[in-house]
Amino acid sequence: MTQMSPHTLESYLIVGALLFCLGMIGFVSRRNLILMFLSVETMLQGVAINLLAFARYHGNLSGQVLTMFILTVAACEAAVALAMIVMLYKSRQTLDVSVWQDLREPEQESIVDAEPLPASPKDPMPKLTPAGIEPAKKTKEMSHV
Amino acid sequence: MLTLFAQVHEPQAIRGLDVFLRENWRVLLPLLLGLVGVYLLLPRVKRFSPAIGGGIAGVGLVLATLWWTRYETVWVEQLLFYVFAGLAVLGAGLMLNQHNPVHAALSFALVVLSSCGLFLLLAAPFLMAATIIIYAGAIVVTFLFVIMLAQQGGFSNADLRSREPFLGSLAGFLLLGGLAVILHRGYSTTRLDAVLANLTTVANAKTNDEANAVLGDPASTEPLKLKDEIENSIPGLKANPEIEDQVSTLEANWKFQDKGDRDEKLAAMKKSAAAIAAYATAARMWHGSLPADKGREAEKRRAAAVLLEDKLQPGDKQREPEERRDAPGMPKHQPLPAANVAALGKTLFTDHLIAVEMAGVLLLVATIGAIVIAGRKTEGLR
Repeated sequence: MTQMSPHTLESYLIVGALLFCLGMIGFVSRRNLILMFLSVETMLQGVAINLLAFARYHGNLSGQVLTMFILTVAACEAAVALAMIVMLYKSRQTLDVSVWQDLREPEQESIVDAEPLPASPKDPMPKLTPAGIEPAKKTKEMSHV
Repeated sequence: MLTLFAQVHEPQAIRGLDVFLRENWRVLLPLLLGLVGVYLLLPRVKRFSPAIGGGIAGVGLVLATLWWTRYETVWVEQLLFYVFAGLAVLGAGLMLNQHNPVHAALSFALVVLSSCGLFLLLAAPFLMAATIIIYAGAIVVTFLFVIMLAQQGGFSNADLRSREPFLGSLAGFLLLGGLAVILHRGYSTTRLDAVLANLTTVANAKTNDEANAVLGDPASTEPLKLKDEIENSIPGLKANPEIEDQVSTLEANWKFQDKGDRDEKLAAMKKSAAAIAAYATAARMWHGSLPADKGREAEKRRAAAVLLEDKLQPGDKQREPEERRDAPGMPKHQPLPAANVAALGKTLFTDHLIAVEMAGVLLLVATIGAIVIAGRKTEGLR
């Protein structure tokens, strides 16, 4: 199986395009900073499939070399972006990107969440069976020897 | 640049929306289903079952598999391709839908693993291993650590809501639609196959009536419709005057069939049709890659011989499988080397040496930058 026919090439290019566009939709729509970044990485996977398909089709290793560089740059980008996400979280205590929306141009109307969130389910307190006399409260814990 | 795609006819403006829709509806219908499915899958506060959106998007995906992808080789590779591609798209769709970021990170790991399977099918074993180690190993684990550090209890705005889900999905599917239509127009061989079938019927016709069934009635005043289709669907015809002569000969013989020896005209028509069919067969092999050039006599003769069921004459070389020839100026076409790592190393350190060194510097700077950014205290910030 040495050569690749153009029909197979088309199939691989479609898969690359699908991954790229799904990643783009995820980046534009999600509000969690980490999920936005994961969508960007999905876009990079789509591009990598494209490059490797053309490399196989033309029998040229340059596509694989460029994919390796994409991998390297994606690793660097992940490191720096995650460091920044950690800083942003420390600053506002949330991963929501909408809290930073005042960084936009001033004439844009801000996003306001219309529906309130449902109440978070509280963890129920565990029910213990009552067991006889309540022990006397100790002021200082004895160390276990 | 435009000849890199098989622009089989002159690029023309969109003649009308209805014509565009009628020609490309097989490309557009799965996209529409996917758009509705993805819009329903994006997270919202009042969630309903992901099966609804997933089902619609799944139907679109199945239709896309049937109508868009074509695979002409070993069936094991075909099966593996569909499995890996399906898992990759499924993982990406799941990632859009999950509201728990840990689940979404695991879906991303599924996407990476499936696309690594596709890398292996594309003869890139080193990249498969490197991507699994770096992406699914290091990057996803780092993501999970950051999610752990940035955890909050309960529901949060970040996970349950989407920002502009409809416009986002529309933008994504408009882009996908543009790409799919261009790929379809560039690589689709349906018209070429139809023309080839017609030409083969004419080439194998035993009587004039069989040939006329395909070509049309010579007594009518209409020109040969097949000629239009030939000119519009076989790439590179204009660069090949011999084949254009054959087309004219075919038309002339068809038109003037009744004026003269019918058998002689039939033989001439069959010969022209066979020659054009041979050229079209060769064109079909490299359809979508490079434009035609002249001087492919031996290949055309071989293909014509196959069509007319000639036997090998003594002195003929054994027929070889079709080879693709290279366009001038492009790197020489050859299959990828089997020793992938050795060849990759050799080309990295000879052709791409500066890029390798720069990548090393980039990695160093990114490491320093990540440590500096994450180690800062927050009092100075907002």
